[in-house]
Order: sequence, then C-alpha cells, then structure tokens
Amino acid sequence: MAEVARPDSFYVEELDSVFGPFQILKYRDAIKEATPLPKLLICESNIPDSTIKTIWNPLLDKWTNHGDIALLNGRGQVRVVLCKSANANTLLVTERCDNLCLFCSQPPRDVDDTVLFAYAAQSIVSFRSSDVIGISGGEPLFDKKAILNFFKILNEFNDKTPLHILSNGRAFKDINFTENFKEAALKRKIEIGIPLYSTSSRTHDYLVNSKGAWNDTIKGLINAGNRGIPIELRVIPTQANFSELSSIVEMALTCFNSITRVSIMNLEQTGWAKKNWKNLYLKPELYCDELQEACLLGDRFGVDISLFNYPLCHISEELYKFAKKSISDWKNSFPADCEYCTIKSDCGGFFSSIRNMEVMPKGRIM
Amino acid sequence: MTNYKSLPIKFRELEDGRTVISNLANTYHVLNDVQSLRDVFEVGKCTDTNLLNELEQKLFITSDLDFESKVHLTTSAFSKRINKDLASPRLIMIVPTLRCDHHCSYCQVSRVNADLSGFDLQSSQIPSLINYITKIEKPPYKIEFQGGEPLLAFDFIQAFYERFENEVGKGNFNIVIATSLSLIDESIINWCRGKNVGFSTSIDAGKKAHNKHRKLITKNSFELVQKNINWIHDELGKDKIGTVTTVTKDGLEGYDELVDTHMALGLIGMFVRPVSSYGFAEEKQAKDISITDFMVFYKKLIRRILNENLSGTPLIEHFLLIHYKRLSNSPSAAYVDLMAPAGYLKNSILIDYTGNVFGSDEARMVYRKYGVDELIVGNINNTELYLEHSTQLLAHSFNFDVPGCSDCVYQGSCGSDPIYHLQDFGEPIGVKSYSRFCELHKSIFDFIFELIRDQKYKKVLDGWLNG
Amino acid sequence: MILPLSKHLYSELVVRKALYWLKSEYQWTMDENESAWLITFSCSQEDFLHCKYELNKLLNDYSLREKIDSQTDDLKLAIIRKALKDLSKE
Repeated sequence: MAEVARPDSFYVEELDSVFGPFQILKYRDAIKEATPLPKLLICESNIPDSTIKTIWNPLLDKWTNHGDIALLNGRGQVRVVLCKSANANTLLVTERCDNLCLFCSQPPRDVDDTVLFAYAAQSIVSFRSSDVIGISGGEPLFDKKAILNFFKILNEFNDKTPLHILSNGRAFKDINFTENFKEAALKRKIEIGIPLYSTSSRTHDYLVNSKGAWNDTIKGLINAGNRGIPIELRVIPTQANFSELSSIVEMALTCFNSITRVSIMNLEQTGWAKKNWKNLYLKPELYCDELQEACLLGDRFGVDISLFNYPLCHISEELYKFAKKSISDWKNSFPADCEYCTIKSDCGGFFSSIRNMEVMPKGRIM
Repeated sequence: MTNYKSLPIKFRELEDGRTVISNLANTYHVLNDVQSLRDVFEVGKCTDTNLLNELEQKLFITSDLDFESKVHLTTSAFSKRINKDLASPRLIMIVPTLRCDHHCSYCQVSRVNADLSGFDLQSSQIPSLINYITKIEKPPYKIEFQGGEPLLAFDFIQAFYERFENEVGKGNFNIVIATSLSLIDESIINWCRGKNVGFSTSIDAGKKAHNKHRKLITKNSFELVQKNINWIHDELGKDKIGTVTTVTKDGLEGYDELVDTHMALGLIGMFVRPVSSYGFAEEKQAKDISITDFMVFYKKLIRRILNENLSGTPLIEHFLLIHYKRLSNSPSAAYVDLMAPAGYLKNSILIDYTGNVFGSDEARMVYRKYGVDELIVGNINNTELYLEHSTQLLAHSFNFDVPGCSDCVYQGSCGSDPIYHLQDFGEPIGVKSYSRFCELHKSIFDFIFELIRDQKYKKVLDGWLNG
Repeated sequence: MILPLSKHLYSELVVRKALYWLKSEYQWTMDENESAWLITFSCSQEDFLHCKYELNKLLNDYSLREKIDSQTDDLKLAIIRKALKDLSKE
C-alpha cells in the first residue's frame, strides 16, 4: 500500500537518553518558553550558552512545526503527538479500559499510567491550539480522579482548548461524577464521543465483550445528556448489529438529550479487529438500505448524521453527501487505482492499516 | 426472544383494520390486526420473531435483563418530549389596530370601520411595548402583526421596526404581517425590501368562496390578492409571502382550485385548516362545516398535493406536516395549537390595541365575545401580571391524566387547547368525545397512517421533514 | 330500553369509558343493581339495536385496554411521575 500522508515517528540517536514530553521549537520564543513543558530546539546553527536542548535532524525538522509537542521514549524514539499541520490531533491518556471490544484498536493494558494524564494536560496547555484536540485511550474516564485532575490542571492554566473525548460512557452512570465532570469540563467547548452498538444488551455486550456494559452506557448517556454534556453518538455497523442500525439511531435521538451529531463508522482493521474480522466485518454494499434509512433520520430529528471511513466506491451515490473524509489524516492512503477516480478529492480513501483485504477500490469510476 | 415484558402501550384500530400502537416514548408501530396486538400484549405469546425484534427495538417490549434500562429510556424520552413543548420560543402577536377595510363573514375578530378613531395603538406606546417584549422573551424574536388590517397602521409598524432594530439588533428578530394585501402599495414594498419582514395572507379554497366571504368595496378580493402575491414574490422574494387557508362550507369543492392557484403563483407552501368557532364566526359559518366534511375535502387536497410532488413540483401542506412532525418526534414541530401542556401563554402572547396582553389569539377573541376579564394577563403600560386563571388553564392542559386523552394512542403527539374547550364547554378540558378539536387532530393522525402505508407517499412526507 | 351489563364481565371504569365515546344521538342514564350495570337508553327498538352494537364494540375495546394495561399501569404512573419530577428540577 502507498505511504501514509505524514510520518509522525522518528529515531534520533542523540536523544537516546531523553525521556518525556517536549515542546519543539524552531527558534527562541519567549511566550512558548514560559509554558510547562521542557523545550527541544531544532536548529541547524549552534546557539552558544543555550539553556535549551538543541539538536539538528533534517527529517525531524521537515515534518515538525514550531510549537509541536513530541513524546520521547528515552531510547531515541521521538513521536510527534501534537502537530500544527495535522488535520486532527489526539492524545492517549490511558491504556486502561473496562470494555474489551472485539474490534478494539487500542487493546487495554492494566497499568498505572496516570502520568499520561499529566503529560496530556501539560501538552495541551503548551501547545495552545484553537483547534479541537482528541482525548482517547483505553477509557479516558476509567479513573475518575485522574480525569477530574486533568481538567483541574487545564482550568488552573485557564486553558480553553476545545476537546473531543472518546469514552464508552459507563462512568457517567455515576450521577455525582457526571455533575463534577460537567463543572470541570464545560469551561471549554467539549464533545464526548460515545459508541452505542445496540438497542439491547445482548448484542452490545457481545460486541464490547463486557457484561453490564450496555446498561451502564445507557444510564451514562441519559445522565450526561441531561446535564447538557455534548455527546457525539457513534455506531459501528458489524454483522451482529447492522440490521438494527437505524433503530439504534432512532432510539438514541428519541431518548437522549444533548446529542450534537451521530457518526456511523466503518470498521477499522486494526488491533483486535484483525483477528475477529471474518466474524465482524460486513461490506457496506450488503447493508446499504440500513445505512440509507439511518442517514435519513438526520432530517427527521434535526441532527447531523455522518458516515466515516466509507470510501465512496463502496456506498451508493445517495449517501455521498453524508460521507466525510477520514478523521485522522495519518491513517489514509489511496491505492494506485484511485488515480483514475473522478471523485477522489471528495473521498476519504482507505486505511493504511488494511492488509490483504477484500476491500479494494472498485476500479475506475469514469 | 421468547420471554419478554411489555412496556405501557396505547392502541387504536384504524378503519382499514390495522392497529396503531404507541408508548410513552412516543414511538409508533402499526400491527396488521388486533389479533397481533392480543398475541403480543394480552396473551404474551407470539411466534413472529421479526415482529418481536422490531417491537423490542422500538421500546414496546423488553427482555427481563434490560427491563430497568428500557424503563429509564422511556422515562427519558417522555421528559424530553414534554420539555420540547415547554422550551419553544414564544410567538409575539401585536394588534396595532382594530380597523379594517374588509368585512369578512367569518371574521374571527370584531372589527371596526377604517375611518374610526380610538382603536389603535399609539406610537407613543412603542417604548413600553418593546420594553414588555424584551422582558418576557429573549432573541430571536418572532413577531406577527395582526388586526383588523395591520396595513392601516403601517406608520406604527415602521416606527416599531426602527426602534426595535435599534434595541435588539437587525438579525435578532423576524416580522410577519398578517394582511389581506388589499392595501399593498409601492411605498410599502420599497420599505420592506432588504428587511426581515414577510407577509401572511388568507386565501380561501376557490375564487367563489374567497369573494363570497370577503366584502371589499371593489368586490374583487381574489384577483387582488393574487396580483399582490405576485408583486411581493417578484419584488421581495418567494420566502416573504405565506398563505393560510380556512376551509368553510363554500370551499369544500375547491381543493383542486386551491392547488392550481398556489402553483400558478409559484408558492411552495400552504396551510389549510377548517374554520373554527370563535368570535363572530361561530354564529355564521362554523356550524356549517363538520370535521367529516372537512376531511373529505382535505384528503382529496392532500392526495393532489402529494401527486404533484411525485411529478416533481415541490409543494408542502404545513398543517399535515406539523402532524407528521409531531408523530416523528421532530424537534421543529412547535405549533401553538398542538402542544401539551398547551401553547397558550407559554408559547404565544398577544398584545391588543388597548395594550392588554393575552395568552393567545383565541383568548383575545373569547374575551371580546364574552368579556372574560380573567383572560387578560397584563398590560404593556404597567408591570402587573394577572396569572392565576392562566396558571389554572395550563395546569389542566397535560393530556395524560385527562378523560378522553388518557387512553388515546396519539397522546404523545397531540395537544390540548384549553381556550377552545373553555369556549365550547365552559371549562378548559371539555368532553373530548364531543370536541371538534379532538375529532380533527385524531382524523389527521389516522389519515397520516393511512397515507404512509404507501411507500412513495411516505418518501414525499419524509422529504418535507427538513422544511 | 334497558341494557344490563354483567359486573363479572365489565368493571365500572370500562363501562363509563365506553359510554364516554358513544355517539351523542344515543341518550343514556346509568344505574346498577347487585350483579349488573343498568344502562337505560331512550330510543326506538331499531335504534337500540344499532346502539347495542356500537356500545359492544366500545366495551370490547376498553376491556382489552384494561387487560393490557393491568400489567403496566403502575409502571406507567411511575414513569410519568419520575419524568415530571426530573423536569421540575431543571
């Protein structure tokens, strides 16, 4: 498959023993130097008496911007986690999770990684973006104290960076936590992306591989919605739940408050989805009626419904207006055949994660 | 699923033998017959797994395991629906003058001749008026001028507009003038250009009915209205003119003519409803039209309109659309007459030429006819509010606890109209089995279920939902 | 013309609901004895027949409602009460 659009990981030998989050600078900058994170100056010329760590690496220089945030692993790896030229930035704040989704793209690890929250808060404050930054995991709300503390730090710096948090919503079944979360989080524009996979527990709990998950998520959606916490409802169609796709959306829009939009997302072939692919994945062509029905609910309920990660050659033309380009540009690529496609510029492309798959561009669309 | 629990439902048998069911979340499903209803809900044994799955997905039945959550979901949906009706913004109606140049036989308001004095709001009252409006409501403001004939008080409207724009800002309000259009002239059109001002006018079902009801000095009300609609269309834009059609006995054959007229005028929207007994109308026209007769007319009208849509002509009938939106839990289904608790006072307010404030247009009419002082809620010249009576009216306007409505399948979509029932029955609830309000809305809901049985008609109606 | 309705078959509420929706041309009064509700209609023999048919249909409808509702009435009240309570908090 073709190369991804923008590389975000580099090996820099001289940073071999350096560990933790750093803010990348290309020149001296008094304002940025006042923010929490240590600085890494990437500069060709050697500035004498510099108190800031200075290196030169052309590849790193090419793919980073002044103000970007990178995480160094102490073994020379530099991973850019917040990049000004990315069309979307996401921070991982924990690998712990109380679900075990069959298609999990970030399989959970039960480790004490609360330090990631601290890194994330400091990174956000230092990065100073007016664009939305994504927060994901694991389950970002798994450790309630940690997430509230995360907001405490942000609020202390009066940071107003808009945030989008991915969560299974189970933490919101606790009304007190929901109230505290609302107080702390709603000081900035925020949206919580919460997936709901079925109108009943059997199918949802099967897909997320956790008994009681549906119950918790439903309670969570009700509580969070009632408190005015903006919610993006996510649904991933699979073999198990495609037939109730529009029922899920209809139930959500009838019962929950504060739903800002609905995102129907095509299965991504990463993580555990790879091993469960045969039992989960369904080609969009096989459920286009259900997709259509679900999308039309947008007009009925006055809410935006979007399709994500559906290459245009795999859905019917009437659905083109709902299809959005991929959320993360670092995931997409276009196979060679796409060159001939007349609607390529409107299309999100395919995931770079796709390997040996039946999913291929349909050929030339003239 | 073999074992399941039922959630609370209501049902109604349609004329074609199918049975509509609904629940507290206000979702609907149509069963093929009453026997299916008995099998699923009375006997509790049903072998149709597809049906059971559908009913489970729509919150009619639930597994034991999911029972608690499904109850929470239902409660949440129920609250959400009531909240929608509580939260919609108010329509602010202003009657700048009672004077009118027409003398219409079904006029809902008392009117006085155009040359009389003492029946107008004074320009000097504009500051108090604006002060009152901004106190009780927040932007964006929806304002409608009624009358009499508001264009006879055009000076007042202009003065109001200027001052209001100064106070609240240009993008924060929208004005509609409800008028016969007979007095539209060049200067009015020029003034309206570029402003957030639109017109609403009444067109009867057919030229014969239209001219019969309206006695204008020049006798050609219908032609005049058409000419002026075209004028506004061309000079100000399609979106600046809307029509309302009140159907009386004389119009019952006019369904095709009504559609033809709208199409010839290039109008995309219509709003059609039966004449309703308030004020002077009661004595003359209302007794003549039964809901049964109206529905015969209405069904033919709607089928004609839907077929025009299928042939590619966009044409929306908004009265039907409101009902469809209510059945669909659409958010933009705020229609003052079809809300529970009632839209009276909380979603509409009317300021009379005397400065008196009423909770609705109908309340003003009942006051004028019967002198019911309790319907005066306040006055723009002072800060007093007389809310006791109105609070009572509103408290009795929920429809889940009221005889006649408590078992009705359309309860979640319908509304209550305390002023209508107050006039007809002497109290705000009324006897629903005699109520034209009940009969009308129930008939239209029934009709919708009849219509959407046909997928192509359903598609047209679904296409109207974003309008 | 008197129509007796067995109290074993019909509860008072079912009878009253059925009468509520009866067409206005049928004038009625309601009485009772130990075993039955007694509905007195003032109409001709022929009209009485039509009236009985109509009333039977309504009685059937409301009986069915009563049976179906009997399992869910308490739940219905609980849902409505909770919803209103939540609303009054906002």
